[in-house]
Amino acid sequence: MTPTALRRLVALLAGAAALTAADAASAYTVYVSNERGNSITVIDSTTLEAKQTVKIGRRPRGITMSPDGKVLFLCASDDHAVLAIDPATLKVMRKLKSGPDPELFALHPSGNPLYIANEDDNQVTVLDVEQNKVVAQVPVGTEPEGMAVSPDGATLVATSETTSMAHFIDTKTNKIFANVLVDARPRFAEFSKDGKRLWVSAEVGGTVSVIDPETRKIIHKVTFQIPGVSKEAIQPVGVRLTKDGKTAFVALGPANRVAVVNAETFEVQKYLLVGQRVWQLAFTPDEKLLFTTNGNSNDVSVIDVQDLKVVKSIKVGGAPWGVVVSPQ
Amino acid sequence: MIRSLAAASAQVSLLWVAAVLSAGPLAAQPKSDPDWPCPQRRTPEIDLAQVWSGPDPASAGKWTDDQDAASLAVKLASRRTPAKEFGPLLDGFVKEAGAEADKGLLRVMAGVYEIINDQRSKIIHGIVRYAHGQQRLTDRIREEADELSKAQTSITAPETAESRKLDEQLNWDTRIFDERAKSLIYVCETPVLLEQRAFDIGQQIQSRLKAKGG
Repeated sequence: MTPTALRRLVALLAGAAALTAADAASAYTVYVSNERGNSITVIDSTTLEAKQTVKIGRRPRGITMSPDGKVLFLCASDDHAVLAIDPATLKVMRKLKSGPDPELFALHPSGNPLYIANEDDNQVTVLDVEQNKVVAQVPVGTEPEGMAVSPDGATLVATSETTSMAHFIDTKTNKIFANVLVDARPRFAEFSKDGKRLWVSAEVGGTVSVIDPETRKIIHKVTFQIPGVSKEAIQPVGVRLTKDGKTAFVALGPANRVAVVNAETFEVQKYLLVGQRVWQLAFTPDEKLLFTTNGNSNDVSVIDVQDLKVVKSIKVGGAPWGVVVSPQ
Repeated sequence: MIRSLAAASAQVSLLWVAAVLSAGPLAAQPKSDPDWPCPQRRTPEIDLAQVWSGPDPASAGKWTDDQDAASLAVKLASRRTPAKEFGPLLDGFVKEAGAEADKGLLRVMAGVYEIINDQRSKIIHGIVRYAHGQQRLTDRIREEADELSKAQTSITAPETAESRKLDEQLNWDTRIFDERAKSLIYVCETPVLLEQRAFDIGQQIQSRLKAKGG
């Protein structure tokens, strides 16, 4: 090999390495909790393939990640614990106190504390994840489930399924300061990034209430009609808003569709057929892709957010429930 | 002792069923419908649009008039056909049908949907009857336990022919109740499995249509 050829080759290799690095920057890892599989499935966001499925905890449901991407938190409902997992090795690092039957939780934007909904005993457990210490237990309505913390960290919202309320909790005092009645069986709450809107889905009511957190008034109720699908099958659960606050995605349960809603006019733009009994959703940080967990078809659908098309279905474990994407 | 055990066991069984009914993994509806013992939500029918977003299958005419489409629909809908055979069966059909494949596929979908929905409705009715049967049995077990405690005035009271008969009946009913309650989990899964099947077939048919719709 001539020196010139060698130099070219080195340059080429360096270029290839740079390319790989660029790719790696936008490659995220997707973690899916499988309620019946008692496992987590790991998906690569570039290849859109399931890399591995690992048995972990009993009846895993809610799943989230620390802002630095170093800890994966998982509600192991039948273990009555929250598991702190190393995302790289998928080994349980610590078993945290959660109160009974944890279902869903929300992490404070600073990464601590963790607010856990205890479905069975009608309270929210506030857990210091550093010290594994229960800071407070806040009594709320019957069967709390949906949890969201405002982007400024000042307000926690917990929805209670049977009481049909969104409870507003002051995170300094850990006391309820307001309640908003929504439609039957609220399942999920999501703040807009600017904190000016709160979206609360009602599974049995079939609506999503858009609330002004400042006045705590319902500004609008989003309703859904899908030709050929009965009203009963339209059960809104997971809600995700784009960072610009312009678009909302709503998982509609056994309607097997995700609704794309214009978050400014509240009009439904499109219904995307995904898998069966779609419940939870998660964006990649660049918001190019949205992942949906389909509990009855045991798969995850991948939506191209720009094109509003379902690009892939990925088989995961039994009854996928929650999904989270790594921040890096 | 045996008698009190049977009564206690009846109590435990009722508690066990209550626990199963309230804590199914997919519990997602208020648990107040006495006709519906399953944790899954009761949906009397699968809506076509739940499993299909392609063109209206009815646009291709009656599926029962197309012999090939109808026999494939029956085969696909049958639970004896494993899911991994859906693809090859449909590919074979498309090849045979040639230019008319799209219309044929729509008729297959219409058939699959109708057959599976019909099977599913029968199962749903069966589950309701089952729930009623269990309710009647629950009432009877309660009465039997009451009668037994009346017949047996104290724990040390000697066993009589009547109390022995009551005891046997109670034991027997409790056992039936238990067995049925245990199979409930599987019974409740059946409508879901049929939905999965309809959805899977729907997606496979849709992916083979030349003219995409919906």
